[in-house]
Amino acid sequence: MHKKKDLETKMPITWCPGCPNNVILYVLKSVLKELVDAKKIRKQDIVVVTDIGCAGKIYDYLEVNAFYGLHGRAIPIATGIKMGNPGLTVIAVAGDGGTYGEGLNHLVSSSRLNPDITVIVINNGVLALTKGQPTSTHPSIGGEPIFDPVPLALASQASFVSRETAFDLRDLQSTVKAAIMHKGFSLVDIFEPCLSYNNDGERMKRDTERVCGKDIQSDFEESLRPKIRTGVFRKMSRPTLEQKLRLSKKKS
Amino acid sequence: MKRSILIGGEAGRGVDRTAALIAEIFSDCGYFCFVYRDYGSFIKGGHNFSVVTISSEPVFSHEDEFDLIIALDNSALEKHVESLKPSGKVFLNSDEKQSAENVISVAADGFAADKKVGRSFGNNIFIGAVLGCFGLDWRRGFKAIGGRFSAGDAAVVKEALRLGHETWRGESFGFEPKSQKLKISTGNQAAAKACVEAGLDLCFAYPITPATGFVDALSQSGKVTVHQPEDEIAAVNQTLGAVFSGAMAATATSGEGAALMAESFSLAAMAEIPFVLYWASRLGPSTGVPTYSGQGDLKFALNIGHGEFPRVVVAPGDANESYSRTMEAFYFAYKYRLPVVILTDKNLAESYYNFEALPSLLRPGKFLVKPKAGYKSYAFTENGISPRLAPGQGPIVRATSYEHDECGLTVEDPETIEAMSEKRWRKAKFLEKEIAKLHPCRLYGKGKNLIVGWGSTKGAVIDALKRLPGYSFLQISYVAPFPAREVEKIISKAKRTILLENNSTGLLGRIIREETGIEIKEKLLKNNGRPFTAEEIAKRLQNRYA
Repeated sequence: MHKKKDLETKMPITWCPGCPNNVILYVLKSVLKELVDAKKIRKQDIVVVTDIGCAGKIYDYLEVNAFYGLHGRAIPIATGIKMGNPGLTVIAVAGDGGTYGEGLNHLVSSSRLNPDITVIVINNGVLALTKGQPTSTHPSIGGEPIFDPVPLALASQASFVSRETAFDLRDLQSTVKAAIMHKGFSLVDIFEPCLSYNNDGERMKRDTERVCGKDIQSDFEESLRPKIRTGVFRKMSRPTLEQKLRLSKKKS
Repeated sequence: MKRSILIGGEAGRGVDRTAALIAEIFSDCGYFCFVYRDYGSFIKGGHNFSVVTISSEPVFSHEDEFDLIIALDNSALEKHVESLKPSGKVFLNSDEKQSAENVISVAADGFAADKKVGRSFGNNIFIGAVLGCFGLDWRRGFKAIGGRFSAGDAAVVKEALRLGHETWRGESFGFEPKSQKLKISTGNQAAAKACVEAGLDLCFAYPITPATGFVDALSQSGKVTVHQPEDEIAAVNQTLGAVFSGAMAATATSGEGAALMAESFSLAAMAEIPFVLYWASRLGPSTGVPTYSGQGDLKFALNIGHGEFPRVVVAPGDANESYSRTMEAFYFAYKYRLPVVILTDKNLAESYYNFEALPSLLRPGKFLVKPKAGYKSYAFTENGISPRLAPGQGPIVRATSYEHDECGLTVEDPETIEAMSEKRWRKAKFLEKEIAKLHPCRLYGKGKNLIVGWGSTKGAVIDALKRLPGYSFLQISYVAPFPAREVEKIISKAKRTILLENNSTGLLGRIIREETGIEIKEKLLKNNGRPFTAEEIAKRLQNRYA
């Protein structure tokens, strides 16, 4: 594969004009291209599993094997795909509503069990496609505290936990790449504004503080500070679910 | 020759195991057996019992009265002594001499204490006593079950059987060993055996009575990877993911778990992912009575999942059918890329039946094709079945919950929506033709009075027919697609039709009316968690129409 266009379908993009999801799509395509070109993964082995809603639309834009799932269920579908054929490179893309609300149970469980899948969460604080209802990561509903998935994933023993924003292209790119290449469950929480319903990008930029490179093992305090901490909070190696169950690659 | 044994005692005391071992011995000696298991929701304590029916003729249900009661404690004796036949005997776990003539002490606890083994080991003395009572050599009994124990344990079992055999001094029932050998299996075990033979790779399941025995059997086969996820929702979605990526996978649950799986049932239909759901009902609504049985989920199984789509719901009636219908379920799910429910219940799932894995006419498989350029996941075809490819081989493979075009990309235009819906329904016509060859319903007997039923009631009805001259039985096994024409033909020839179901409103009757226009007004229903017995059916029908 030589052109990024090989990873694109002909489907028109229906996100709002200027939506930062375009950045995430761009990053995903360029990381996948890089990994395929470097022969780290094969294009034919990539499977992208999506939730529904705005995050789910990415299903139609990527010319790779893909599964358009249900709200909150991208993680178990991705886990099943990996168990059915451990030779595949499985990437789930979902929103905060699905991952931290409707299907939160799956995040805890998969963090513990460590299937080798990558979970990219487009975290914009709203259920945008239903016209902007707040999620658990929305900053301003009656002053309730915001849910922070990072300490939860750390406490659930996820082997790769990270957060980036859609503003810092280079950091996002390197973290997404590291997450895909990580052998085990990896979470990439991506903070972004929703231009239509939670357009607070300036505050996000102001409040973001990068802690990457510290390789925090399980320091909850680091991720709980008032600022939005970004970076890779944990990267550790332990046996994957497929290895423990001795599941083998399907021949192709 | 037919005799019935009740074994009763506290949970954790080995009631179920003892009953199964007795059935195994007599089956091995060529006698037909059926074991009904009655237990509550406790791990230790309470009162459980099993009923073993042993006969020289095929038997599919248990009796209300007993020739023998094995009382592992006094409370078992008190609870069941009224159901002892006048000539019946009781084996009581005691080392004291009994004043009642028909009560024989069996020092099971004493034996276990002497040998310093677990209390349930003492139960083997009862098995020895049963062998004596029935006229079988204890060595023959040991031959049938000895292989189930480790060498050390086997020596203890051997001694227990011998000692137990000596306890019996009366005249025996005269059960000589026969040359034929039979096997026993629960409905759960039989279905699991079919899964293994169909080539199942993975089972994702969250524990729930009475489906757990099925999952345990898969695990014990050593051939299927069993994974217990966080909940039923994860189980069903992992199943669909695994099937998408090329594995053969299934899940199992009961009505409550199925409720949680409903959304993904519809996903399987839309994404056209082969999906087999082994659904073992218990008595609802809600938590209901979780270790007891009911046929209250029939309409739910027929309607589970939002939207309209073709599906298969098949309800086996005994262990042999649990095996053969499960084979068929995998065949249809994978060939036609649609959801299939194997609908059973606690009575069938957990009772022991004589079992024979009859060769299946169909060969289940994954129905995957080889990669070819230009592959489309949802290609339009004459029969509506799009060839299925696993990802990882070159062509892009897609699965989607959204309405889609042939490639699997999202659409919202009216033409494609209609064409895709029509494609999915087109499969149903071909499916129906294939199912029609598999006895979707079956008539037993020639009587003019017709009993109509489905699922686990089959055993008691078949046994009841022997006492009901003039009656026949129509068993409906495929509820979706429904064999309407055949059912209509059979019912319209009957002089009188009686609907028999283990539920409170006669759900099959409502389906028959919907599918054929025929309303069956006479109903024999039971919804207290307990199965029908043959005697009960015969009596209730004879009283009603005497």
